[in-house]
Amino acid sequence: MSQSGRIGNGGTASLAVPHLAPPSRLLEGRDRRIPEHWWGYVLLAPAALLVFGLILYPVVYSFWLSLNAKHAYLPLQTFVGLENFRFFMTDYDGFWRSLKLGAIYAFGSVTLQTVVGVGVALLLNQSFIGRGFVRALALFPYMLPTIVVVILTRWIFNDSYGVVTYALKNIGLMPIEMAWFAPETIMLTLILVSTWTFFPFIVIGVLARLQTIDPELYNAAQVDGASTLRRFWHITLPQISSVLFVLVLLRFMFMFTKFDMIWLFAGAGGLGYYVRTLPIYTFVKTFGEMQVGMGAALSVILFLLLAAFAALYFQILKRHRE
Amino acid sequence: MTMKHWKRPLKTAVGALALSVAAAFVTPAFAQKVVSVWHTEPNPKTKAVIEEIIADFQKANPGIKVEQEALGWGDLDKKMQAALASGALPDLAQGQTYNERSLSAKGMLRPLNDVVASIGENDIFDVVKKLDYNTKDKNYYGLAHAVGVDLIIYRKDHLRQAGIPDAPAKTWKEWIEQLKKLTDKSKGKYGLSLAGPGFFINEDVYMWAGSNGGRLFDEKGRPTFTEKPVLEMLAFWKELSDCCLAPDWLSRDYLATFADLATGKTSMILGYGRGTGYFEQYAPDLVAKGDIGVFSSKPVGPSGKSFVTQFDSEPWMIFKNAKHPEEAAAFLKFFYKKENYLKYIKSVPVHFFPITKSMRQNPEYLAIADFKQWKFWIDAQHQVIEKNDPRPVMITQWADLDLPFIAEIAGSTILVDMVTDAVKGGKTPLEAAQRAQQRAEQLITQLGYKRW
Amino acid sequence: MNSGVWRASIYVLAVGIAVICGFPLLWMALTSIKPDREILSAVPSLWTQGPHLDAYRRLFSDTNFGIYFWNSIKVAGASTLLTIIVASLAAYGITRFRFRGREFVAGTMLFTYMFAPIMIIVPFYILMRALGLINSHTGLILSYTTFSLPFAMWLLRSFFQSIPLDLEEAAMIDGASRPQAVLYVVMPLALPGVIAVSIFTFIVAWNDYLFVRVLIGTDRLKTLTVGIQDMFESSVTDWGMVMAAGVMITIPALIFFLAVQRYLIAGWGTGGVKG
Repeated sequence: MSQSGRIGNGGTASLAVPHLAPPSRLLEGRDRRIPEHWWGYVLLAPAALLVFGLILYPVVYSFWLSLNAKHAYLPLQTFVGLENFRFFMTDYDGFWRSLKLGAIYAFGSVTLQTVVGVGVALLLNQSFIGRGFVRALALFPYMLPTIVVVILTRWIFNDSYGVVTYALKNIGLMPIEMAWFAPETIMLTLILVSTWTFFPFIVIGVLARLQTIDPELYNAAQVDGASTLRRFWHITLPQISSVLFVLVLLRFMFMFTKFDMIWLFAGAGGLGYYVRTLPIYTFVKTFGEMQVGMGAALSVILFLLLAAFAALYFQILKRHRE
Repeated sequence: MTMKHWKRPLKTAVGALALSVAAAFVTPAFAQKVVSVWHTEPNPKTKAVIEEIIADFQKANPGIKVEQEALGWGDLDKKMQAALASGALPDLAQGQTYNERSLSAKGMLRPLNDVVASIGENDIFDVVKKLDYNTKDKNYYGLAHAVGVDLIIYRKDHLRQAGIPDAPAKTWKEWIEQLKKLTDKSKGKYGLSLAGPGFFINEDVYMWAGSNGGRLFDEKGRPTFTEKPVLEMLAFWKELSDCCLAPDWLSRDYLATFADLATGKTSMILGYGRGTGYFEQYAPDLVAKGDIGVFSSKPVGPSGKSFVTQFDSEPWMIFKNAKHPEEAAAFLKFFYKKENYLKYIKSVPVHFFPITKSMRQNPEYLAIADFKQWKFWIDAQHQVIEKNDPRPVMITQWADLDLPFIAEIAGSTILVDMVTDAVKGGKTPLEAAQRAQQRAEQLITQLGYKRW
Repeated sequence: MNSGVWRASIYVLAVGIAVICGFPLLWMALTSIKPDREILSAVPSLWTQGPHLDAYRRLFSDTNFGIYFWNSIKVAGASTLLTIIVASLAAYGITRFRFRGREFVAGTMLFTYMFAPIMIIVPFYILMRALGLINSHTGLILSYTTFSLPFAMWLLRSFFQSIPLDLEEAAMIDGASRPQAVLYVVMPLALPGVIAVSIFTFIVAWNDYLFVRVLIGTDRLKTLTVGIQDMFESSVTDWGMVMAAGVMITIPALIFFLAVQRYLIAGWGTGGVKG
């Protein structure tokens, strides 16, 4: 009995599609006295305990907090019902603006990450000298801690000492009056840097999938005279679409809820107003204004938005499939 | 093991148990009292000095152990809040100036009159008394550790080259004219470099509004952002930003401004004496030539008569309900003894301006090596402390110290956005101020502090 | 398309990607060895007149960087190990036993990630305080494990599903107990998935900022992310030293990554696509 090795190379043969054997076969012999579903529960228990205890419980508590006005560290708490939510509905400059900024950031960076990610994955799927080296470099930005990326970016895009700014302005690709970290450009800079940092996530998923596509499909198409573009559109894209679907959804959720990148980049300073997405606004309300109840209300709204988005996303996909 | 064989280990075990139980009862009498001390000077020199002072104190006071915890300035707030929320308070801590009043109002602080008496009340500079002495119940609830003052730091060589006399501008109008002469955008040179983080913008709002004869809150605590002095300040800020600040100044942090001064990208910055170390490291030639100077005054606005600047002092506070407040007080008295306080000051001499007049005139203090180069900086700070009524950070008027919502307003980005709106956001000063006013009133009401 | 042009453009793009991804890191390393004056010069130079390692010396002697470094490794390593164990148990349990709510796992993953940490951080803090896990590495390890579990379970479940039951049964017929069968037969085949999970969890833990910022108060317990930021913002900044810190953080991630990157792609390929 053999399993072709997935380990260590890009993968060639595919594994057999699994299907579960009837469970009773598993429990012949010594284990027969123990009811089978018990084992399942036992094995699942540690994971379930952690997830329910440390995530779901705070979530429920968060829902409760959102109905209160609570100070961050003084013992002041009063029940206010839906008052927090009512406040945000008319909070145009705060809440609605943060939604707008968050949407711009999420859509902008996810789109770029996807385009660049798929492109780079396609490139890395070709064979060429030094591919391993380029692949390692291309995936590397994802491994850097956010604080390093932020420090690095602020250093090389610095208006006075930054090497990139210096180079671009000297070549003439960048106007002298422009600065990467000014109110008009900060969102763009943030999106570009986020793309650089997170596109490898897409590359990893897409590249893996690309490597399992049967080369026969391409050969057949080439014999039939299909151009590169048509081969991409009709073979590659459909093959990667299922994995891309999940990746894009995850990236959108991560970008829309991204906190540390934006906060360390500009959230705490004078430019904060121009990048105050919903997570940043939540942080300011909770730890700046000390209003924990309002922060919790924003979290609840954020969750509802994401749930709605995911539902919509799945619907569109279902309809697209039909 | 057989019955016989485990009798002996059993006896040993029982004996050990008995001994340890006895020890547990006896040791409390000799138990060490551990005093926890938090401070906001994580730089290695100061930490080492405090360790020395602690060692000497412990030698003189067997039975008391002192543990220091050096926090970054930003960490202090968080840790303090967590401690307040959970009740696990330190014995002695440096704290925020605006917290001192609110904590003492809640009865959480141990009065420090005995510590002040041991130093000599008349020896302490008035500005410290204004901060730490509660005139209502006649108690000191905090004690500043030092009082470094924020001044304009400038490049003398730049002024010479631009033909500007080596004297401070008296009004905002004069200052802008000076700065315009010092700015050359095509060369990437800007007259002034301001720090962009929200904290510093807040500070500048408080100082500049004050220098324009204005205030931010009235007697009832209601925000007064739409009053003329504040609007004039916003207009001035916009003019300043357009003519003489780098386009990305909002993203520059405090130390970047020092870098700008050191490399010649700017001619003036606002800062504290701690920066001397930075100049010595990154621009030793400038220091040697004496091209770094400070002005002992700041310009006033059209509606102002005297300038307002701030001093940086995290006051020591002792929590009444901590484990060992009395021992903490003993340590604090020891800390301020001449020989120990001098050691402390020596760790950051140009920034740690002493709180006592006697230390200021102490010959050992005056002989500190750094002062050969930087004596003028200390003298400038001294002048401001004696004559110009500097304020603690985060307030404009002394009465603001009693407002319970200073921290929340500071953390809320309301003032920062007001400046950004007026300076870069295309709004008129009135529009920016009105929006900030509305947000501030809303926040104060939501916090339950509305009194008007 | 002309294959010559095709090949050329591939190389051009490859070089472009390498430069864009690699240059910032190179610059960081370069800055860390430049003398202080050169760092702040108006004209950045591509090489340095007097390279020296003084910034690194300052980093390790003047700051707690070494401590932060060790803390990060400890916490990230423990979280990774714990996640693999717990997730493997759970994934195995779900795939090998008939189970009500099996599909629940996939749904849970998505559901859980809709609660980004920033959203629940305050009740999380209150909960951890009640459990006495504030200001402890245990608290951090449990947090990272918990947040990695949904993704880890989802990934490993796909792997286990694709490994036929016959293998374990054959082993057990040959006399192995079930745990042995799992450990020696199943797990090696799921290795790419395990590696993918370990990379994901390690990075989550290594790079985390928010949890450390909120849960840890003592300087000695900080990990690199918060420690570096505080160093960067403290009153004594030092670009050379900060860049040296960046280099030091990058190196272990780089080593770890280079060692396992082949498995990474393999892991995704097998597990990630089904379903």
